[in-house]
Amino acid sequence: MSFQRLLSAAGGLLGLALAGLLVVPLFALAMSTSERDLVAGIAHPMFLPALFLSLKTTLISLGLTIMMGTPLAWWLASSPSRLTKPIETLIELPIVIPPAVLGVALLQTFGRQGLLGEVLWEAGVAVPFTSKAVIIVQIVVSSPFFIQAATNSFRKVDPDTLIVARTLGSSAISAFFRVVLPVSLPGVTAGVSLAWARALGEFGATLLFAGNMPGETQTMPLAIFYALESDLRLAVVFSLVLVGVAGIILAGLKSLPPLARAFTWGQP
Amino acid sequence: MTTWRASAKASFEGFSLDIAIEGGPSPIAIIGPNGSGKTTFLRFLAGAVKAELAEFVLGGTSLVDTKSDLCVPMEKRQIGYLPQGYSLFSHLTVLGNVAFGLSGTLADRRTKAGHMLEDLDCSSLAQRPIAGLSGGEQQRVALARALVVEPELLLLDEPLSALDASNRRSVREFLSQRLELFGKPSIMTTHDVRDVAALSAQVYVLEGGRLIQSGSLSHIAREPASEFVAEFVSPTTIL
Repeated sequence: MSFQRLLSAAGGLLGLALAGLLVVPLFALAMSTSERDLVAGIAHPMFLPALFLSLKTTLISLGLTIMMGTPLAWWLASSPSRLTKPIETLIELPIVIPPAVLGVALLQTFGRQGLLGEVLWEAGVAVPFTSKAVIIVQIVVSSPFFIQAATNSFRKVDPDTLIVARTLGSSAISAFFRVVLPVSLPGVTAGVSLAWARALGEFGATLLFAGNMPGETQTMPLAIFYALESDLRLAVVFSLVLVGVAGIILAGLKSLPPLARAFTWGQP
Repeated sequence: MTTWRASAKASFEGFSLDIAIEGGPSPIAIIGPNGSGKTTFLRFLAGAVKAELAEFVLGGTSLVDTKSDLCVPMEKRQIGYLPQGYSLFSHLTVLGNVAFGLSGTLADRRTKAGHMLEDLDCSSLAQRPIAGLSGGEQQRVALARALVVEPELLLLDEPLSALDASNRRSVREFLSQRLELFGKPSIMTTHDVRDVAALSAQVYVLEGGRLIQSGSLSHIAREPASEFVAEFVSPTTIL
């Protein structure tokens, strides 16, 4: 066997091992439950409130991330300012900071004695250990993924296409929505998927900053953690449902760019 | 008869532009080495680049006048722009590209864009995605997209540079015919003397952001103001 073939076979095996590592735990999860456990788990009083809270808070945090992150990503991608590089680095910092650190930092910011907490408290707004805290944590941990993906995607847009769109009568905002966004949709959608997945899976910072109160701040990962302490079968069912929901939403998000393309190609 | 005049003084990182040109409805060609400011000047006219001291009047309408803080936004200038590489919208079909700048009902836009494609002999491309077009086809679509909105001035930034040698000759002929029919001012930047000859254009030579010579092709060939001009008009370049 030639060296090239050996190298290629080794690469294939390593790739297969990694794919196995990613997929086998999910199979193990599916194999370790029964229909009866599944029904019992779904009927458990902790299940629906946690699932509903996870879906509600992640949808709100994702919406806010897209709304606030899109103009920021466009500025980072298109501004000639020298500030873009340091600001981009600062924005990406939460990706590498451990969630526990973020939880403590958020407490120091929004806690009663925190940097903004005192003012908010006097205005009658309490953030820590509420569902607002869950949403803030999710935005902090997930938005860097969206901003990074959207910025990289916007950078690939040929600036001349924008000039052309403007000379054809589009305002700056209209040119962004009619040209930049559709052209960068695959990258932006990848950012949305990553951000949503990160928000759905958030655990450590939520536990520290929002607590683990059923119906109020107990998201699915926290419910799994809680169930694991008393009933492994329940934790497995919760985990399986979360995998299913995540899979469905991820598949939906991935089908967005081809759908959008099919729609825009038909225009006018 | 549409006339225009433009002057711009601007400083960029490591580069400055100081230029004043005026023209009528016949096409003009701007030549110059890479980095001489040709594209920057076209972008200034389109409105994508700001100058510290500038004036731009098109057909009697003042579009830029820094003395009175006037700067008409790009979308209101009625200027057609064909950048290098054409910058077609890859997420739209050919028809979608041509109809992009039109207003009105969907049916009106579709009809008008269709007529323009027909006019440029490329109606068969209407439903094709941009990805599968040849260089020559892309050039026609970009020209149709710019012309369909009936601009008062057409800017063409090295419109033939993305084409291979075999396509260049036929597209050059096609372009010169279309610009003649267009009947309004057009400015083309080019590195090829044959483009200038095909258009019978007045030539403006830019070097280092400054205008160093202007005149007809025969005039600059007789008295080239720099080595670049001499090289540009030399018989070997023409051949």
